[in-house]
Amino acid sequence: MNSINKKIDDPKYDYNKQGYNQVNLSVESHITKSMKIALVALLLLFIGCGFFIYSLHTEESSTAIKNFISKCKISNNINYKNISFSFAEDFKMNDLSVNFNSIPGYTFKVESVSVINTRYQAQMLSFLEMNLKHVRFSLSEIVKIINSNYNKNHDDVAEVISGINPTGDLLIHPLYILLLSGLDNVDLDLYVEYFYSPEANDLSLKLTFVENYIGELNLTVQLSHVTNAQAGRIPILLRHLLQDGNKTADIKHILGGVGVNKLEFYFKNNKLMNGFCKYYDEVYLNPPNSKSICDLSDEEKNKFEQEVANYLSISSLNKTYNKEIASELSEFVSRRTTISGNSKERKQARVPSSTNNVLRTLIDILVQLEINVRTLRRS
Amino acid sequence: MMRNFKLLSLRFALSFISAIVLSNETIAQDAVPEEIVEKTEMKRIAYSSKKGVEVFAQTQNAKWCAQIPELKIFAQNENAFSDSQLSDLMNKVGVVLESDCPQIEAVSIDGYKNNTLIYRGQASKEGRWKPENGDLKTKIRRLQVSINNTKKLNGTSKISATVEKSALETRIYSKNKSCSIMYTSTVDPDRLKDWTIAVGNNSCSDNLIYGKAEVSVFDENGRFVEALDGFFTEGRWTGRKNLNVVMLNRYGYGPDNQIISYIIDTNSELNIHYIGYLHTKYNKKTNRYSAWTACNPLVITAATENEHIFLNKTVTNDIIRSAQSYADVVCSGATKLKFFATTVAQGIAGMDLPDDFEGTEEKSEESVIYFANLDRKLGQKWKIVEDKKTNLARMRQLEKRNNELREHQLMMADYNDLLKSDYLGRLAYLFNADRIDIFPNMVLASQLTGKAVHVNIMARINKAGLKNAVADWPRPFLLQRIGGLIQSPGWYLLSGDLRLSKSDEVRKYISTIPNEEQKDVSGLMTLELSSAMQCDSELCGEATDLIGLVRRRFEQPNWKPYLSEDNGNQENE
Repeated sequence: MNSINKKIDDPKYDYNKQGYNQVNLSVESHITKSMKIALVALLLLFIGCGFFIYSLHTEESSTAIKNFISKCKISNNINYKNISFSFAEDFKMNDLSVNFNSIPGYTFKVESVSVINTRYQAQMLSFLEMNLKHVRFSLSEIVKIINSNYNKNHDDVAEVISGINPTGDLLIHPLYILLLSGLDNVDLDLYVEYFYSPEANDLSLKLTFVENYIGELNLTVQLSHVTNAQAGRIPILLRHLLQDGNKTADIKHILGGVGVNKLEFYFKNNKLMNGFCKYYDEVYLNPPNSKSICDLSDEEKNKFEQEVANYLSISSLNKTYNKEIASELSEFVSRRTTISGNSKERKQARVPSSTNNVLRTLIDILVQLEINVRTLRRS
Repeated sequence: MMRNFKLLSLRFALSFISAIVLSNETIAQDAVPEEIVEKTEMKRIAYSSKKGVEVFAQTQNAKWCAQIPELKIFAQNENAFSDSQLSDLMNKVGVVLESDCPQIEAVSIDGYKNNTLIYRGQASKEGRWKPENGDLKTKIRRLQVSINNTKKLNGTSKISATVEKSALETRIYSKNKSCSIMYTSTVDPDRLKDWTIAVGNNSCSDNLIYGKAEVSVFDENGRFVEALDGFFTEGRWTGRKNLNVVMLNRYGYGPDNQIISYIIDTNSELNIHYIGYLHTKYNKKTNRYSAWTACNPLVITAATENEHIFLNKTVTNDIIRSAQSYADVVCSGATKLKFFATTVAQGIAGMDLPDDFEGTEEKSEESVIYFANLDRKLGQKWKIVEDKKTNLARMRQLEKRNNELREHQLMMADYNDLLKSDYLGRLAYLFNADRIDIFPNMVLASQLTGKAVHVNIMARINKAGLKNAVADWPRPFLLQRIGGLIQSPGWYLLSGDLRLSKSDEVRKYISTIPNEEQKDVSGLMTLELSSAMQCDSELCGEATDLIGLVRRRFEQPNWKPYLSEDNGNQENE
């Protein structure tokens, strides 16, 4: 201490001289050397523990996920390379191969499935947020397998395809129409946000679908009066999608009698609509170097709107509303940009327990919700 | 009026006969009790292992014995049907036939080698079973027998010929009424009915005399009138010749023209009946009539309800040839033949040309379609020396008009179909194809099946070489094996097999297109061409001219549909 408590005025202690630094340094080195060692040791310990905990967590989680898949009896349908963990998400499955029993011999590839967040309530999944990246498959390969499954010979297939009409067969042969519109090798990203309250019986679903050829689709729907049994049927539906099962019955059970409180959608066209219009032009022998049939003239627009309004009039008696919707749709057909819609606040629709005409039922629901449709008009 | 009556009666007789002939089996079945079902089988009646020959007879209800049975001879060697061998065989078979079937009078012979028919002939008892080539005689005879037997089975009158009042004919009986003849005479019929006959050498089993007989005719006072020795058919004296024909109609035009028509043969396929005519000559000095004969004059009528067959020259020639054959059979020594082709058999037309028949439209007999006078020297072929075709010409004209009407109806039907069709349907009509395919659909079909698909499409060809071509609408694709079908660029309707292009085809194609287009060649297709039609206008716009389409199809450049002038333009879209 005495050696330290030196008068600073003493010319012997000139702080500007180098000697001062030497004095401080000699004081510091005296303290950190041991502490350093202790700090390093502590750090190493923490890292070691952290690593241990992380790897334990990883292993336990991987096992838990494996068991979960096994418990759901879908281990034959889903295979993955590995599972990774990060702070940004609960876990991430990498390089998945997904097989559907209804498409034997064909594997869907998924680059990754990130489960970002999950929550459970009353032993039910109440929240799920997940991201699927680069889901890849070939439509033509799938169609070939389906055809061979149904024992269709080449002549039968050619006969069916030769008679396809782009508008009339849109709902009957959707895969063929997509292929004819130029879509084959699909590479899509899918974001899902699912929420369910077992007590309030409310369910909401948000989907974001992005595909290079098709475009972008966002869909948000809020449902009410969804019983626990109905919500509990969703995993079964998913399993039936992968394996064999009565998917129609599942959907009927899940949706029958539920209320639709909110519906929002947004679709941005990339190339699919244009591909469809090109196919349409070929079917109707549009002369070369002329504008597409989809580029409706004023007269054609009027005719189209009249037809749409007539179709809507079965579900809605509001002529003004029908005309507005028809107008937006005709604009979308002509421009093929984006179309969006949202339901009116405090409007509710009920999904019927059964239906003979899915399209008509959907139109009825949209009309009850007083969906407001808008098309982006480029200048 | 007399002529009309004859027409009616002949028509009745003809339809009656044709009904019997054409549905012979049906009538036979009706006549037979239901439980007896006709079964046709073959029964072997003779064979020779040495010569490798078997002889079968066609049986009906297990019975083969008939007046004119059908024999089928199966031989291992075709030499069995040479003249000498067949004569030898038939000699022996004849013995079998006569012993097992006494009523037999003739046979038709079908000769087979390895189940292939190589010989057709006939043989008769009269000819001591010597085989003759061809079976016409037995065919005719079988027909006559069949008609006769059927009539007997139906219990109809034994007099098959319809006797008209114009026929100077009376039935004269024997004293005990067991026998009778049909006697032609100018004597008052009221007297004739008291005349009688005496019959020798005939059993008169059918009351009317058939076959050989010696008949004496006595008047009402018992005085001898004349002797009729020889053969009789249906009570009518035929002299030394056993005519034994099936008579149709007995009529006359005064004492010098007494006629009986009879059926020679029927062609059921063409619905033609060949009719011959018997006549008897009146001797003014003796007031007697001669025996009935068929050959002087020799007249044959081909009668049909199906008059349109005569519009076909080949058929007409065949019919004339048939008539010539019948003439040879019926009257082998005749050198003159009159042939009529009529819609209905006519007495007058059958004997002679009508007096006023000059071949003009106003005066011609409408039912006489064709008439020919034929001559020949003995041993030589018949030659037509004169013929008249007026009604035939009129019929041809009518037929032509009917054909035009039919064609117009077909064109109208096509036109109405086109009115309802869409553009692809009209293109298909232009191209004479079932349909025009949608190109992208067929491309997908080919891609999904991995195979070529047959297509009919419309396309625009923008490059044409000697062996291949390139189209750029509706999408770029290649054409192979064009072989002269594509001469120049333009719009075409094409037919062929569409498939995915091979890599060398794609490479060749890429080398001909600018860089900026090269990225779009994936999925390039090739059409292997089988047919092509170049269109006149863009998008084959000529398919919008519906009248033009129909005219083109039927090669009738002046055709018009049944439209008013106002509507005429509306159909061309």
